[in-house]
Amino acid sequence: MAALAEEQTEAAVKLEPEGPPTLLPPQAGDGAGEGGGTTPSNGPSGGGGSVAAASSAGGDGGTPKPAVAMPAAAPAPAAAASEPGAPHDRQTLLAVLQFLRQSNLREAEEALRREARLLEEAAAGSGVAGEPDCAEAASALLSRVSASAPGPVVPDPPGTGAPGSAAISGSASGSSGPGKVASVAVEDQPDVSAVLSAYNQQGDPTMYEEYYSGLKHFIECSLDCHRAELSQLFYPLFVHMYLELVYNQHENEAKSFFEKFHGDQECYYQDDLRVLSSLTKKEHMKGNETMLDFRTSKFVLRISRDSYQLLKRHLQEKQNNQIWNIVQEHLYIDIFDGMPRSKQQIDAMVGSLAGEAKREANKSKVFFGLLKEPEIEVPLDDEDEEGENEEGKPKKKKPKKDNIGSKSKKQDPNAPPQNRIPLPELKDSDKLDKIMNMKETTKRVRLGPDCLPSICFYTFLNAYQGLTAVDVTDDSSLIAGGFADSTVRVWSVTPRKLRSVKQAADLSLIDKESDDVLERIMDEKTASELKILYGHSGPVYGASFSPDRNYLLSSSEDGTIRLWSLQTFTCLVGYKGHNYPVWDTQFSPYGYYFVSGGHDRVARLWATDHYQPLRIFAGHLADVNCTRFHPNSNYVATGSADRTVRLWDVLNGNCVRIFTGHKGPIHSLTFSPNGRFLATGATDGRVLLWDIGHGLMVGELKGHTDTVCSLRFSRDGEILASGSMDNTVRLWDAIKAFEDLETDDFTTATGHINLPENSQELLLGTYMTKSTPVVHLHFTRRNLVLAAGAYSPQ
Amino acid sequence: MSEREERRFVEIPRESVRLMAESTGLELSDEVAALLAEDVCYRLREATQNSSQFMKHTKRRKLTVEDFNRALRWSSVEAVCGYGSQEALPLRPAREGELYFPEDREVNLVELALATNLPKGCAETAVRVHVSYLDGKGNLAPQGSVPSAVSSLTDDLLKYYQQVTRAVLGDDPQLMKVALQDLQTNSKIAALLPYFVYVVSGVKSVSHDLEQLHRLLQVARSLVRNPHLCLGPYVRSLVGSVLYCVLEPLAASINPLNDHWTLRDGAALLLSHIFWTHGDLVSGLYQQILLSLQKVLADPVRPLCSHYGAVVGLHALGWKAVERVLYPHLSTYWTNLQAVLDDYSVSNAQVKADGHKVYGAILVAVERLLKMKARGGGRHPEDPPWGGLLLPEPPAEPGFAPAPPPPAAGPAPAAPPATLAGIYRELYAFFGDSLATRFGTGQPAPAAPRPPGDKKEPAAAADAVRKMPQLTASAKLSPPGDESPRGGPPAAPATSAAESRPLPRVHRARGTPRPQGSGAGARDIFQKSRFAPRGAPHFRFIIAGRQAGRRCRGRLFQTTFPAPHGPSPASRYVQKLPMIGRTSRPAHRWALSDYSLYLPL
Repeated sequence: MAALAEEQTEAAVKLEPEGPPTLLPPQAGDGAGEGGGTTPSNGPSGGGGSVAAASSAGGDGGTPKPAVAMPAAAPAPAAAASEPGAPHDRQTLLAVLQFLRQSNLREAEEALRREARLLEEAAAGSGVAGEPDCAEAASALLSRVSASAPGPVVPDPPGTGAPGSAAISGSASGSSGPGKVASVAVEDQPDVSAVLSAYNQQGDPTMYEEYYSGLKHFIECSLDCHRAELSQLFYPLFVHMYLELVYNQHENEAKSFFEKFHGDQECYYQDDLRVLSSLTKKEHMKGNETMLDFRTSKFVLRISRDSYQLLKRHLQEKQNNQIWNIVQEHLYIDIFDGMPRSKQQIDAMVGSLAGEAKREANKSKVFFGLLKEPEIEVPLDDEDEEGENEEGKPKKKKPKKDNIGSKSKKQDPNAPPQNRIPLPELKDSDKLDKIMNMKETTKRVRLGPDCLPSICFYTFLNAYQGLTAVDVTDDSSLIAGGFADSTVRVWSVTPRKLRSVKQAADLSLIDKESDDVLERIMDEKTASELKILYGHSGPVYGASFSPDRNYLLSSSEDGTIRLWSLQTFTCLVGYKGHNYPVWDTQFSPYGYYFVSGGHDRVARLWATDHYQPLRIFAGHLADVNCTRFHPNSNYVATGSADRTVRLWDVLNGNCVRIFTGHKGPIHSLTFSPNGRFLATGATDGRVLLWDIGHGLMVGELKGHTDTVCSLRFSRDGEILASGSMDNTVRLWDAIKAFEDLETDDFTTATGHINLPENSQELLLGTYMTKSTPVVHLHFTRRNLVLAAGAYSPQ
Repeated sequence: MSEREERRFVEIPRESVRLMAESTGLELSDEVAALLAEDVCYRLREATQNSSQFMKHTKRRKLTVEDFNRALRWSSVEAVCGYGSQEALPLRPAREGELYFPEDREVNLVELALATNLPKGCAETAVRVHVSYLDGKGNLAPQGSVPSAVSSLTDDLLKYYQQVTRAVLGDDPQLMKVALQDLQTNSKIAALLPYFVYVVSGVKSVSHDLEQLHRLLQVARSLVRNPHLCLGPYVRSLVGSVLYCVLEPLAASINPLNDHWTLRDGAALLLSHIFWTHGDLVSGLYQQILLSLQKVLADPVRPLCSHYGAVVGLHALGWKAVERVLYPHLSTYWTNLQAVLDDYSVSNAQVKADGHKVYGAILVAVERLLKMKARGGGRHPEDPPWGGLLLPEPPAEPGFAPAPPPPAAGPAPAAPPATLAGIYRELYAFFGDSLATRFGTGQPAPAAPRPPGDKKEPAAAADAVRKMPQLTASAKLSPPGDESPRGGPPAAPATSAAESRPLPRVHRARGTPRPQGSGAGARDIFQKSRFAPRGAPHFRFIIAGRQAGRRCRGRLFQTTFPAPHGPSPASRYVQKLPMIGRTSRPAHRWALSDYSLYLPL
């Protein structure tokens, strides 16, 4: 990252005109990792250009065997990202050191050591004292010997399975339970066996069924109040026992175990079970992503202290070491005091690939308020009015006080400091656009249950099933479609045609002093309703207009994100880094930054003038399907195929929220305009609503029968529109949904939520399309709904 | 795996593996084959699993070969080529047992390469916007995200549309006739209505081409007459197109040789027809038409041909429209018209000729007004004024007879109707004897007796008014049967007889008992013509303002001037006038029309 840091400062100097004068500073915490970045110019294994990223991400992208290394690599940054503070960096550092040693990169290792010593000293004081657990974990890694776990609950940081550490900690991570010591030869199988080694321990394969049914019997016979909580154990235990059997090559036992107990599992685990069931050989475990997810991340369960004691006593009585080992090694049991949760409460929160989020994960403060609007309106607006007629005056004054005034005049207590993230300065054209926006705002329809918006549908005809992404500019003047045939097409939906700037030779002839120079530079000959942008070499899965409508981003299966100019309709930059399909990308609401997420399980933050990412948000256990910026541009939300939603802090790259509760991969996200809430939609057809400040689920909207592809709040946040693959648009009463939220201290503290069953009351309308999945939704500035999708007959 | 009860996956038997191996010349042991088979199954499942991600992100529910290939590519496996077709591959069973294989027909490349029927390219990807739900409710078109044109216009209809438009606008008159006839009777063209209406609206772009304008009007006429079509909202568009032909100073009007007058007459007729038959479909249509006509009439900047159009339009809409719009406006308009007619300069000749057209049209209109008034107004309130008069084809079918006016659209006379006598007096002030001649009363009006030949009007009218041109009669100036609207057919036995017909008829009329009681005394009001009854029945009416038949377009215009003929009391204007009344229409057409100059007194 040192290289990256240099790059940034350098760029900051030379790219003044385009970008903001100050750039997002290099991540402080990454300092530890940066040492690694400078040295391996000869690369650990041929990563080439991505070395810097690789080092910071703990070997991501730079590793030789993508199929294997990638999934393992992905969670590494999570270690860096999700656990703020020095101890963790140290752990990462150690991991990197181990990795270098394994790769026989002595020089690099030495260099890193030298660098790190300094850092270590700096960090040691506060870090180790602050989080002893992590320190312990770190020392455990360092010593590379098996150490017995400190207690019944192993409060490992989520990054234990980080690739770096995973790679090295092969032996260490066999922090086997009491009685068993694993000794693994790491050297011969550095990648997989290290990851799998934990399964080396084994009991009698024939006993597994007995163990499991014994526990099952115990749980079913326990008191009702505990049963629901303890039932959470079934799934992770089942998975891990099965994997152990497979790993130890007891194929038949594994099959029969699966046959016998897979029916007990909750229905929402079906997809994972299907993957598991096809996994019957040790060789197959190599490179199986789902399997690696289970191994590299601990399944998190939240259980009340009473229930946990009950379980513990039972397992000890029965001398059921097999299960006890699994509980200790592969599960993270988050114990809370108080009443056990009900089945409903549990069901609402579980479902993700790795269990629930830990409570601590959602404790950090999030500045969800909106930024103060720059006060450009007053002078410019007046000028504008004078230029216009008089009648506009009284009309315009009022809304300014209503809308903008409330937002901008007093600083929102929940808002981040204005310059927390350096934002680009407003250009004159931006100011004009803001004024336009304000004027439109005065004509905005105030929506509500009695005043529903009209819906316009943009149908893509003859798209031959190829429409993969749609975006509409904020002022609803342009619509862009990403297609499976690798093209990006931009349409003007106003009578104003799309024109390119003239060629350089022609431009030189233009009188640059003339008032209408901006008009003169446009080439009238190129005017057309549609422009096709060629450049990608795979389906375009994401598209996003810049707020100033000068640029368009597109992300594609070819692993690149491209920045297109809407002045020349050419590609300006291809951002490489993901190496795998990029599922989504979006511009920051203030422009300049953008975020992308893809099959490599990470989301990346970019700036348009940097060819490498500024931040890598890693932690998801599966593809990052969708990415969205918070309205204040300080946070990024990502929805993933691991069925979790994460909120990341742009400033330091930390994961500040993990939302679990979806039962299927998440395919759509949207923030409420006031920045307080997040709505997410998944393949299970449900839309979940989240309170960002408290980190709680606050609503569930059931109704869709297929994947929710698009979500959007109305401009004032009164209505939530959801579009789905089931060919409907549904409108929900957002005001009512957020109206009387139980945000008492107890709920906040425990994270126990009681969701009202009120989907039907909140549903304001269901609107059918004709065999057209709703791929995109947009509210115009006057609150007209624009929906878009490709007509797909059948 | 076979022992598993629930078989979730396709499994590849080891026999298949062994066969495959043999086909590449390898011999596998059972054990190896089994292992391989299992592994292949697993890999296939894995690839399938991975490919689903691509399907989800393409927002599809159907997994395609392409998705699978992408998954293969990302796992560094070569993609399978040749199965990218959207259609499912047909599998054929082999005769021996349960063996299926994809059908793979041979393709003759030579034939393909030399084929003349090249496959059509894919339609261009396009975005169409559609207001699906207004204010969150109501489905304007059920589930309408697809434009109706896309879904409903079949190939047959498209072909029909092309053929018809081509025929109508083409060169073959026979073909055109057939096309128009079909358009008039075909019951299956409802879906094409908007397209044809659009074609008709093309009048605005061909205003230089009289022929095309005529044809488009005929298309409109056929559409209006088609009993199977519900014009609905398209009435407005049709009326707009027709009004354009009536009112606008067409590019074709610049050349005086172009007979745009006929076009205007025909369009006016069509306008009235549309209104009488479909006026109830659009509320306020009548008022709108009146308004636009009035606007044109009141606009002195407009060329005279536009004014002419307005007058014939009003006339076509019925005497009530004339009474309501034209009559009150006449006094102001008159001064303008007179100024034109009084200008004898050479440069003004053309304008003046146009002015005479307007004059004639007004005369006909007010004449009708008077007659209807005299008839008692309410009886047959709105006879189609010139029913079928100027249509190229005779209005053979009775269907063209106007329906009774829709009560809602019926005009409510704005001003209290003046008395017949009052109107006549005022009109006489404008038109002088030419009006009287039209009625052929032959009796000196009791109100204003005046000596024959006297050009000065007594009393009522102002001097200025009295100087009006009197386009009344001319004695046998032109070849018989050529100009007179009432002229007999070319083969008429005796021109003189034909020409003298008016008088006897009038006399007959006078002799018969009056059909309407309400018309009593009406005759007395009509002032006697000063020349009519003079025993020499050689006067013919030449002012009809109509040139029937397009073939004579412009032929006589401004060419034939009546020679001064003795001490004719006819105004000196006459000499300078072009022959306005022209007809090449056979007499029987006139007879068929209910156009009559004579009061059924």
